Amino acid sequence: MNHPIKQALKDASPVMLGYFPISMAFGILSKGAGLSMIEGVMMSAVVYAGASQFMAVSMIAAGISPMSIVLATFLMNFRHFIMSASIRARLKKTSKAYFPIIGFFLTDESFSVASIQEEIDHPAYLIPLEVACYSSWVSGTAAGFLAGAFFPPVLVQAMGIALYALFVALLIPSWKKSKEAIVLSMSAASVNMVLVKVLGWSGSASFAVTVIVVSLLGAWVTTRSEKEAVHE
Amino acid sequence: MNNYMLIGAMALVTMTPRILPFFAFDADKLPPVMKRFLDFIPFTVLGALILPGGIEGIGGHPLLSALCLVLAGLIAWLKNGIILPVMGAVVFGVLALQFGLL
Repeated sequence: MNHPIKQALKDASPVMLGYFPISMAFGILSKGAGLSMIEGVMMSAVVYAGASQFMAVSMIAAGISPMSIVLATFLMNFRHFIMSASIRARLKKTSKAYFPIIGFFLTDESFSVASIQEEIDHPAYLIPLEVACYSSWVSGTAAGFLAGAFFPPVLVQAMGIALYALFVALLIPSWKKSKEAIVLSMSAASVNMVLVKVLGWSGSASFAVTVIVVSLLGAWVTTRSEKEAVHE
Repeated sequence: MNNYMLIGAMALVTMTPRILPFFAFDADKLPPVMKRFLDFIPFTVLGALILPGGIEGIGGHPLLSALCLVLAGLIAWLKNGIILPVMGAVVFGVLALQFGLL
């Protein structure tokens, strides 16, 4: 890696672009729900978990008890433990002193961008990547409070596709490299789709179950077929 | 509970599962099946993030959302990189919404 920080900023740029309008919308919503700017920006700065922040603000506005909000937040963000474990398994040289920082800044998006790279055992890449994403989220929240809706509505609406397009773009190069990547991602997408759309599961429960079950099944099947190949 | 305490409690329950796994095991001592399981996580995470969420990316326009994602996939396939596919999907989305194509 020649310029890890430069590469990190380049890789983070689509996430920054995707985060900004969403966090602005969060700022606008928080203002409407009666949160002060310090409260709204602080939530983005210390919770830093998009979907659960939107949910919390709606629940605050609806007068739902704080304990229920905390429980819902836990259930919604619990999925990150599996992403952290996956990153951890690839850090052999990185000092443990960096682990709390790397974990703190981990989101679906920073995980996706980082995990798809060949080599991540490099805090000078990983941390700037995460901090760049974070800075967009926190500054976007402040911008939402200060400026309100200054983007044209059509642009904001279309920007909703940005992070999903990012996930697709991150996945495609692995499809070219390995059949495993194709089978695993397509299976996970199908299982998650069925759990949510057909069986009516909540998004956070189905996400965790899908990722764990499909990955475990994949690991078991591939390990078994390799053992059989050795025995033959 | 005031809002600051609420935000603090939300941070605690969010950051615990993000940070704890880093200290839960030693990367050098993982059994091969576990290592492989963890190496497969990025692909299953991406799959589960894309569907069904992606078809609601542009609210109220599932067909347009799906087309934007197919376009992003095509650009990524032909050009690699991540910036161009994202820009392509957003620009196509803006144009389609603006001119009422879908």
